[in-house]
Amino acid sequence: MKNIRPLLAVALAVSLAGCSGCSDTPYKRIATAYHTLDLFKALVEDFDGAVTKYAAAKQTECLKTHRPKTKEFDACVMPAVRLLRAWTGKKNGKPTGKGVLPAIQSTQRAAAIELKAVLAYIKSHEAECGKKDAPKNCTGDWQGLLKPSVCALMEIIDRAVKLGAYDVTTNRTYLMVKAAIAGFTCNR
Amino acid sequence: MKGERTMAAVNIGLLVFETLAKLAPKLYDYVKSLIDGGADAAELAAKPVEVFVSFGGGDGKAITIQQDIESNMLDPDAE
Repeated sequence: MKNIRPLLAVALAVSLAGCSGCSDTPYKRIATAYHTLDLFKALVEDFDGAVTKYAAAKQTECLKTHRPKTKEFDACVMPAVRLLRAWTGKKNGKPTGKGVLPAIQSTQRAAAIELKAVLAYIKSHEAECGKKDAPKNCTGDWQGLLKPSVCALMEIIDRAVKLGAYDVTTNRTYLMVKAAIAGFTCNR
Repeated sequence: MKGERTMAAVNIGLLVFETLAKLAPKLYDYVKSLIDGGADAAELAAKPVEVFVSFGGGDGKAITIQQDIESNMLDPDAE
């Protein structure tokens, strides 16, 4: 083991010396993309839990003051129901086609498939992808795929914050996602 | 003198690394993939299911509480 240590140290030093641009290799860009997808997933799961907690508390509160199946109960729970519908994309069991959660689920899947294809391309075109003006096949458009649903996620989070259903001030995952999507310009 | 020694060490290192690359291409590929991030990317790509929002195959908790609330409403289709 002692004999191999200097050898490995030299190999590493030489490789690093010849790899000044390695902080932004095509592989590292792909790894960053995977980590970003992972962050979105964590935020979505956290938000789903927060919305659930808020709606459950709202229902309990409304049942204390109103009987179920009354107009008053409906009016009391409506803010929570609207938030749930915008999130789940379902209304009374039927899909509305407008939910943020199903949109994110499908774009996350599409982005992951895209990343897998990009990784395969990089593996077979390493020299081409290592260049500064690398073609689009080396980077893919995972950000473009994710943008609409991530912007919708940020919008519904803002709505939940206003309702008091979600706290973002000390939410590390939210802050990290916000930083990761700093390059996205959502139309709002 | 010190600079010459460093250069000599680097040259020897290069020679060793090149020999290593010729003798053990797999080891060379491994070291290279560790340095350029290829190993990380491959590892992350191998477990794509972890980046999907699937709630372990379910629909999440929000949909369950929504069904519960709507079942208590007089008009579950109300806007």
